[in-house]
Amino acid sequence: MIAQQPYLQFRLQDATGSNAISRVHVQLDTTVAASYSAAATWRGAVSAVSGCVIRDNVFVLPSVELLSSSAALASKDTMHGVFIFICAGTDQYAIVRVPGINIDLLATTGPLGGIEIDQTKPAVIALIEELTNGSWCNQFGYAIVELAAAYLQVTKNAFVVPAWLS
Amino acid sequence: MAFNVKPAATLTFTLRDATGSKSFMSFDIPSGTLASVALIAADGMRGLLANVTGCAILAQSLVYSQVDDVPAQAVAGSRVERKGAFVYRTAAGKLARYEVPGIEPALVLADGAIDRSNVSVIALIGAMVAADAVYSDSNGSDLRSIAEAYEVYRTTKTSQLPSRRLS
Repeated sequence: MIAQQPYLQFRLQDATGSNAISRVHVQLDTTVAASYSAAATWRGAVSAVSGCVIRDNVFVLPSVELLSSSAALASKDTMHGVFIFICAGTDQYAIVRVPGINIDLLATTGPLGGIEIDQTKPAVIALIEELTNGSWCNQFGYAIVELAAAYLQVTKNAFVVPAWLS
Repeated sequence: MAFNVKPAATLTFTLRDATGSKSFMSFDIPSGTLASVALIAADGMRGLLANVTGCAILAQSLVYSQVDDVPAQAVAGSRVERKGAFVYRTAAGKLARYEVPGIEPALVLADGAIDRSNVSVIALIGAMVAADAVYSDSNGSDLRSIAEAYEVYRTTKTSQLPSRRLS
């Protein structure tokens, strides 16, 4: 994965309520703390020259795979593996959706065969262990603690015929 | 104005399936996590994801967010389509343009140029080209000096039309 130039992106809003984005690139080695400082500097300077109000900003570190692997045959992004986790804190949950879940990871027996993700599979175990090691959280910052459920969810157009076949 | 860091940063992966369709998935990580640590965690997560999905992972982005939880009101008459274009010369000798939406009309001279003798404009340019500033162009080259500064208008999108339109 190759790191691309990181950037700060600001959302400004005018008197009519319309939004616009303003983006400025920063150095590759900019830390998160330095980005917050740079964002504050930019906000202060721009507020003095613009009638818009700055509503929020993000610091983005993008990366791209120069030589990505090929997708597995028959993989389809609308076949999602849904993992629901219980988080620390009262009534806190996290949902992780994996597009193109391997069908081999689904349970083959029982009433939920073909729907439930088999939690005895090594690849599934490894993923769950990583997500529950304390490094990951939900969007409110509550640490992921344990898995509650894992199943297959099929969204629209799961079996679209590829263009080259039509 | 009180900008606060959101409790979680977001790590988003872009995936592509066998038909070429793209999809996204994301994880949240505490916002106090250093970017270097988060990127290492992302490396590990990609390896685990490769074992559970048939999709190929094309790209990722790590996003730390701040939001103003006490936003002020925009100046009456401000419009995002009216922008101040600031063109900087970089250390590599190239030009980089950054636009400021809703540029104050009082800062625009009669011929459309931005008044570079205005103290607020001087402060903005100074912040961007300061020797210790982290700002750069899209190739990582430092911004060294201002080359051009002028007013430019962008097309109004449907979503940017005023909500009250008198016939």
